Amino acid sequence: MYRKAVRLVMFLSLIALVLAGCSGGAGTQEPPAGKSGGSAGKSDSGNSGEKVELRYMIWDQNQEPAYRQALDLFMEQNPNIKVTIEVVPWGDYWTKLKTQAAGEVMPDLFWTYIGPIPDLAEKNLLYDLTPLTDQVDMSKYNETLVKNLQYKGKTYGLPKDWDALALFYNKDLLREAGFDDFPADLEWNPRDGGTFVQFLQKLTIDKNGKKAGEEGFDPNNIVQYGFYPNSLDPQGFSTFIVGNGGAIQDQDGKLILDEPKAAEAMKFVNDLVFKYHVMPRQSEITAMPADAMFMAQRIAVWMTGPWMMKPIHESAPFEWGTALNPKGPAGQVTRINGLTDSIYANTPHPKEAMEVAKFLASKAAQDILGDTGTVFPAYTDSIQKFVDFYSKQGMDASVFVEALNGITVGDPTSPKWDQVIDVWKKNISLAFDGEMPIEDAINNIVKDGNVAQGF
Amino acid sequence: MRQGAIEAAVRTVKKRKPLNRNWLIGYLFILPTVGAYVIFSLIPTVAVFVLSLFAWDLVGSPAFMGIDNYIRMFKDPLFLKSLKITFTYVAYNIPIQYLLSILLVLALKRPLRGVKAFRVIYLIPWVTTPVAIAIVWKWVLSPTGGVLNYVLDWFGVDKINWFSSAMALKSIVMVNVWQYTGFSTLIMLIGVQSIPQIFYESSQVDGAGRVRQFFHITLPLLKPTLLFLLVTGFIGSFQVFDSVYTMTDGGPGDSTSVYYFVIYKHAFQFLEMGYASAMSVILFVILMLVTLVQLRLFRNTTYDLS
Amino acid sequence: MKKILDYGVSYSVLVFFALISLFPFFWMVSTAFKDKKSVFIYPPEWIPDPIVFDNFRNVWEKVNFGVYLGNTAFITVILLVSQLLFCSMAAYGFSRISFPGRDIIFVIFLGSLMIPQIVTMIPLYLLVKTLGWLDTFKAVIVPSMFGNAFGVFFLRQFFLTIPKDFEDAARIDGAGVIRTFVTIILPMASSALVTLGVLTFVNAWNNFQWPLVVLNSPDKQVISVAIANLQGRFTSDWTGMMAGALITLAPILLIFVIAQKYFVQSIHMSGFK
Repeated sequence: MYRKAVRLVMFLSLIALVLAGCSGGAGTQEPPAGKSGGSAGKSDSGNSGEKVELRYMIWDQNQEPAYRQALDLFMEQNPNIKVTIEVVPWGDYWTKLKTQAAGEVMPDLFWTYIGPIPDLAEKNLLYDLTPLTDQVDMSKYNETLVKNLQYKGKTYGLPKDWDALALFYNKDLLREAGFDDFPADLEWNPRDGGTFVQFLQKLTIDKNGKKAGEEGFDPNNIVQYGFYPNSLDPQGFSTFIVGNGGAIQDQDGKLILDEPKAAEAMKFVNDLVFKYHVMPRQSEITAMPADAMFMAQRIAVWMTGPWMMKPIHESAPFEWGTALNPKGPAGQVTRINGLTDSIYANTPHPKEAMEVAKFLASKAAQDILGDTGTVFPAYTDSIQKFVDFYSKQGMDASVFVEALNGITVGDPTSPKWDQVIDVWKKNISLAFDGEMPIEDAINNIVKDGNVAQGF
Repeated sequence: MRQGAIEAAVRTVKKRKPLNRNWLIGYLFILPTVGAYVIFSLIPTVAVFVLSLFAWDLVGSPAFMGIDNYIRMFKDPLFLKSLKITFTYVAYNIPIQYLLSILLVLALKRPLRGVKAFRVIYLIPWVTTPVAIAIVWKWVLSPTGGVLNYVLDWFGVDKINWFSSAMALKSIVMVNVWQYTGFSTLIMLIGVQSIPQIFYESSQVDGAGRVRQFFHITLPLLKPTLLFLLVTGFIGSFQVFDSVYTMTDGGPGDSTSVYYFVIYKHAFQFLEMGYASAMSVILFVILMLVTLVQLRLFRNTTYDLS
Repeated sequence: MKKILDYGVSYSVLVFFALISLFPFFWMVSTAFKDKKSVFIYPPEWIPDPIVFDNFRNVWEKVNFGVYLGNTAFITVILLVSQLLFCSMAAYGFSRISFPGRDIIFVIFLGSLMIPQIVTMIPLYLLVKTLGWLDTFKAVIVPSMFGNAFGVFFLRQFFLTIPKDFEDAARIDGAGVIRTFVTIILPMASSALVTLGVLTFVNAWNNFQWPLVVLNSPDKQVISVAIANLQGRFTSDWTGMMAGALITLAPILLIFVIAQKYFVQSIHMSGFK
């Protein structure tokens, strides 16, 4: 009797294993990635006759068509190299990348930007791309971008795209408030807010129709807010801090938010919520993110980037326009960021990967990015194509270019920036919901953030 | 009588000694599952335990730290705070969810029309897309213009800021109770319905009322199901993560930094795998202790029809 | 009279909770049929105006749905069958067969629920990589196919509620352990098995984190990852995402409707005869 049992169990387990074995091969109708090793390509190293397969990891499904187009062009010109694009959702991109790093099977090429580079470089995960800077005309790229994609003197990516922040505004709401055009030359200052705040107050309305600053205005029942920055992350404050003549970090990376000009600027943004009442508090934004609020016409002016042009164009049920940021006491400063293609330090095919990276930053690929309105190309000569794409549809992207050509500063970062962001979020979320004075938040961030960075 | 004959037969069966080949069959029956468990779960778990004695940033070689991770952990205010937050969360979550489930089970036992449809409808929250859950619930809990505050306003209650540090955790409880009550209701229902009707019928003949039936038949025979719900409920609830990740990001401040969330941050944001592993070991210990206590309290019984 | 009150209260309670349960689902359906410009209208419109059907077609093309649904279905079916089989076997072993160390093994086995998956993911990833299974369906299927502690625990508890008399009666008739398992226990546990089947199906179908990490090739991914890709870093394609989510949800709802018939348990006393 029990012999039957043994046979039955073994038979069933065998079936299971067979099924599992079959499944290993199934699902690959076409040749592309039938390998099970996970790392790049099975071909011999460097032999130009063999086909080299490269893995390229990105996080934006919307940009994939443009990149596929560019890479198809590349693969035509380089028939021995095959590049497979792997799209991973942004929310899990870094988790997967780090897991692959642990397994030593990182993709050959992958997207990064200014923020993560120091950390990845410190961990020796990035291939040194300084040699590329000799092969390419670096004058065709914005200086700030080039500098910020370096770490400790080495280049870890060629500028590939960039974004800046500017103001998107709801034309309908402005008209209702009596403005036919966006006011020119708005200025802000930490003392009384300047013409910027005066303007925003006229766009902030409570449920009884009273505007901010008017007698009887009820700050607890606001139905429409004047303004929101891009986010309450450091880059959201950057424009104001630098516009006031301050800085987030000194040249060693140490946080200096508590210095007068930086602290003033941060207090100004906090005042926008609690003194001038033109900006929603943290819990409002937790309940409804800024993009939803803008599209729902609950925010009149939103400081954000060119990535919102297409979505707003498609989804906003109102007329809208773009304008330059308000000028601060230290002038018209913009914070910029740029994506790049970094290469895995241990890739089996560094030469081929570098060719791909070089190509994607070159005119041919950059033109495609611009022509399709995907992102702002970093290659100077291609930038206009992006602007043209949108002006044909009645949208003005030139404000971003104007900002780029003015005074720019890159996003703050450091090898332990993730820890700094953690401290930042913890304190700012309380300070911007009225649960902590902004001065305390600033001091906590500087103290704990610098400790986390090892200062 | 039939009963007597069976009892006699049962007694004779029990007299025989257990056969060795039953052991073999037993092992074989659990072999595939436990075997796979050893390879794909136990080994990684042991790896985590070992890793807790090291510092590892996922890239270099792990550096031996001895028990430094543990010392650092017990000194870390966030560690203690997140334990407190998580225990608080579980203390709200489990009783509310299970009381609601009991309520629904009682209502579903009535022979009403459309009962079957309700059973399915209550499962919908469990499978609704997380993104949709986050968006809709955020709107419901919105301080101005949200549905919940609107309803409270109706009753003359002042509007509440559901995303303040005082209320955020309670909001998370609400979302999770909403999401999983249907599922625990189903489990309870299965358990209740597996009690043979004959028990109720014969006790009714003996003159037992509904209350007596509940305490002498339903509750005792429901013990295995209740044990399952309590053990898995505690274990699952203590590891709450998704709703925190999509709705509050641990905040504001760290008022919703539940234990699993803190582990995640240390593992993947700060790349301190050793420290995250140490926290995981402590989590394991807590959950195992609680489970052992629960198993003890609900010692197994099997039931005879007598 | 009392009965009407009783039923009335019960009914209101049930309906109330049903409406609450369906709230977000209504929003999903509503958004899937909306024109992009209507998505952000506040307060939200429940009935789209205009009603748009394009979102479904668009997302199907944009995301290459056919391939992902196929992959997911393949994985799900294998996991469903194998997990049900091995979970019930193990549950029976842990509840109805006695052998040395049984309860200790069971408790240790339960331990698999108590260690955060986010940390075991890394060692497991390394293990899977060493086995050469990265970027194959094996990596997704094999670690889970032999059962899991939750399912085993659930069935074990259920088996424990089956009165021992049935097995003893079968034993007298000469049935061995295995015959008893197949002819008596399994049929009596049909509602529990169906419930576990539903649970297994849903978990396999919605599986996200692990397939995301171990599968690289675009043509191998599962549907949940494809939907997640519609969520951008700064903003998302809501109408497409909700249309895609509804398509993904459809098989699950179908399984619910089919399975709910079997949630009702009828204990047959015929075993006595």
